[in-house]
Amino acid sequence: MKRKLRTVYVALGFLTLAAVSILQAQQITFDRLLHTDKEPQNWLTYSGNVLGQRYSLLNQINTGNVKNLELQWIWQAKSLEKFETTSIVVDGILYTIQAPTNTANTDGNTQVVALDAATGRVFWRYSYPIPQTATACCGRVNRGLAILGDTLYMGTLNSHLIAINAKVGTLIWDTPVNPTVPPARNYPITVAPLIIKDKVIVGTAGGDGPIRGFLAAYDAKTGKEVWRFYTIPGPGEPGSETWSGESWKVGGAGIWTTGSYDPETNLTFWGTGNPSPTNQAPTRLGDNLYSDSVVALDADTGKLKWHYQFTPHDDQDYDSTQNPVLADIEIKGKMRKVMLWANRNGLMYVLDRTNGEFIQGKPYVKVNWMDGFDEKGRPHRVPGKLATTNGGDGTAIMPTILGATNWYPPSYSPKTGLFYVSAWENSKTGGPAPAGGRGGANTTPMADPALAPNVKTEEEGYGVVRAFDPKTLDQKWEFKMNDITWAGVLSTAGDVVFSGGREGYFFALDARNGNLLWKIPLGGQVNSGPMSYSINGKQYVSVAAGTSLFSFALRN
Amino acid sequence: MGTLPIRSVILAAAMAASPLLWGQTPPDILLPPGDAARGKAVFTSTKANCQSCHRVQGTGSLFGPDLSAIGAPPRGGGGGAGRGAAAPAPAAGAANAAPALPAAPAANTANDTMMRQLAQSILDPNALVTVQNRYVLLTMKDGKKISGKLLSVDTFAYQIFDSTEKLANVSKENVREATMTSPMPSYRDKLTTQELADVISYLMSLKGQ
Repeated sequence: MKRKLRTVYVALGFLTLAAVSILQAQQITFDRLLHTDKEPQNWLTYSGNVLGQRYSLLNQINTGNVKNLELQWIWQAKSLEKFETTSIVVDGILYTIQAPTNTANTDGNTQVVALDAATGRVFWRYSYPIPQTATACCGRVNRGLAILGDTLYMGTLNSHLIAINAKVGTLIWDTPVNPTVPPARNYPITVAPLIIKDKVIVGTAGGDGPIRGFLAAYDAKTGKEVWRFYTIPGPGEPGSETWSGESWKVGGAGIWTTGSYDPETNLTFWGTGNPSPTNQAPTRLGDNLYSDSVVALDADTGKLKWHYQFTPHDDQDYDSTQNPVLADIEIKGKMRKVMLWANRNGLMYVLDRTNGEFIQGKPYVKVNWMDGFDEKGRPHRVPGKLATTNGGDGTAIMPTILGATNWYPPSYSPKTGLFYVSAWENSKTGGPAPAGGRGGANTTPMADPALAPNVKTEEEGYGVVRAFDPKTLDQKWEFKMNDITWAGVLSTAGDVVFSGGREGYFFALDARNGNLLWKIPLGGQVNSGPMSYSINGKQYVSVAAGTSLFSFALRN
Repeated sequence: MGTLPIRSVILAAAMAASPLLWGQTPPDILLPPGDAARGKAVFTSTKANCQSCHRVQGTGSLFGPDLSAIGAPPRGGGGGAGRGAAAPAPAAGAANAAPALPAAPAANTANDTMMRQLAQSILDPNALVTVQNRYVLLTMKDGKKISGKLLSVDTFAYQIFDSTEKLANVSKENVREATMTSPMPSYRDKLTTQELADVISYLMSLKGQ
């Protein structure tokens, strides 16, 4: 009898150990987030890795067979909003977000959804109520989730950060990120959080209105705030002298896109939005730090280590709502730890990410508001190329206020060494319409889920995917679209670049030369960044278009 | 593959007019008083052949802009029927006897401007084309030419309403050249000055429902 009991106990012990092991295997540790290269079957962060590269090491789908892609499943959201979310995939489970279902007069919900990544079947849905008063300037969107342990994290349009159990979809904690300053609607969160160690970092959007932007880190277990960094310094702090009067209190500089992280220096990098009010620059004299900048913060304390301002005293809404992309590349015979940045202001930058040094910069679309940099990388503004409210001469300014690019993510392939960017060309704002045609921002409205006829001419603006050599910032190739684009870029180890645009096509390009390899019309605008994952050795590529999520794989 | 280029030189003349551009003053032209009834006769004649492209009150082709309300007052300052422009109401009695178009811009009333624009559109159809009425001439690789109202264009195809009143999606793979140009001929040498004035008078009388 004793022997039998002992046997049972031993068996139970093994089972317990096995269960713990399985549980630990499913846990997403920070170490796993740091080393996503060891598990390319998963897509664990907004950008695929903490470096912000949006590069997949999967190569089953490659330049030779990508033409054989076929649809595996569709998941349709109940939403009227743009589907800007990049899903994450954890060991076969895909987590995505249904944008709030609010209309102009009704409250609605944001939904976090867990799907079988192979079939699109729904495991669970978690609804978070969003009042209709909570909105961002440009749509009730949500760009993604973060995961640590078995907890999902999401920012909300009504300025909360919430934690959800990834297994069953139940709320763990709910923290208002801006509890003291009403109304909450001025502080929406659209950005996917970034996990660093035991903290969840988010920032507030809403910088087109009268807010003081900030980034904040929260304890992943409890939701308690650990540190906060205001993107506009307060009185007496360095940089406060760059705001006239009381303008700093409402100067904007919101956070719209996820930052990146350099484990070697423990620095986290985030782009900041435009100064506010955008078109009333004389009310906020000075450079308006740290608007339109990248800020490098100590990930443990939130202390500023360095900053670089792309557009001082901006009056064109050139906010730096782009993902900082980190890479190690050789420049002029020397390996450099750099940050690549294709900015909304039309300029592409290479910065030293250890100290913020400006290494080089160059227009990547037509630019006429500046004509060079000083030795520290400050742009020289062309006289007259200002908003008319700021003393401008009324002539057309390029790029438009909607920018050369925007929030949609770029990609860097360590394999090709190229930096891939979605951009707009020939967009311009202000000044007379071109001969016989339209011009300015009105021809390039914000994105929408639905397709719409496009009769724009090339002179009136078009979209491109362009590849650049970051060593020189020389353009290597481009893929032109007729309409503009609001889609991000994914590059893969199969030398394929995936992207899309407002025309509703999702397409694959040869990462080395830009040749079109495959395309499919998805029936709605592609307003998201593609990602890739694999299950049981089968590679999938996923993208959102319209109000639906699509997943593709090679034909069996 | 990339985008098939559209010839920008022709575009400069053919591109759509924004509401801003629409407010620009068309060239001066001196015309005698017109008669709407005579103008209708010209409009419906085989000589002018206007109905082969234009529809008025249910008669005529849908290929070109419907002119049933071309003479109607502006609706909210722009985007009217027909040419998509705000069309100010003509003066009382103008339906049958439009005044002569003055040569001097001093008399540039909205009504005069409207008539100038009509004259310009008839004499030089590519001078002023609205966004809603862009036309494309596609020269196919086999030499065939297809003209159509441009409904939309994307990276891979043109979506057009062709001259046979059919909706067509034309793949760029089969297109050698695309030119944004109006298929409407100039009537500079086809109508007399009096006929032109009469047709303008007729068009000004068209107010829609």
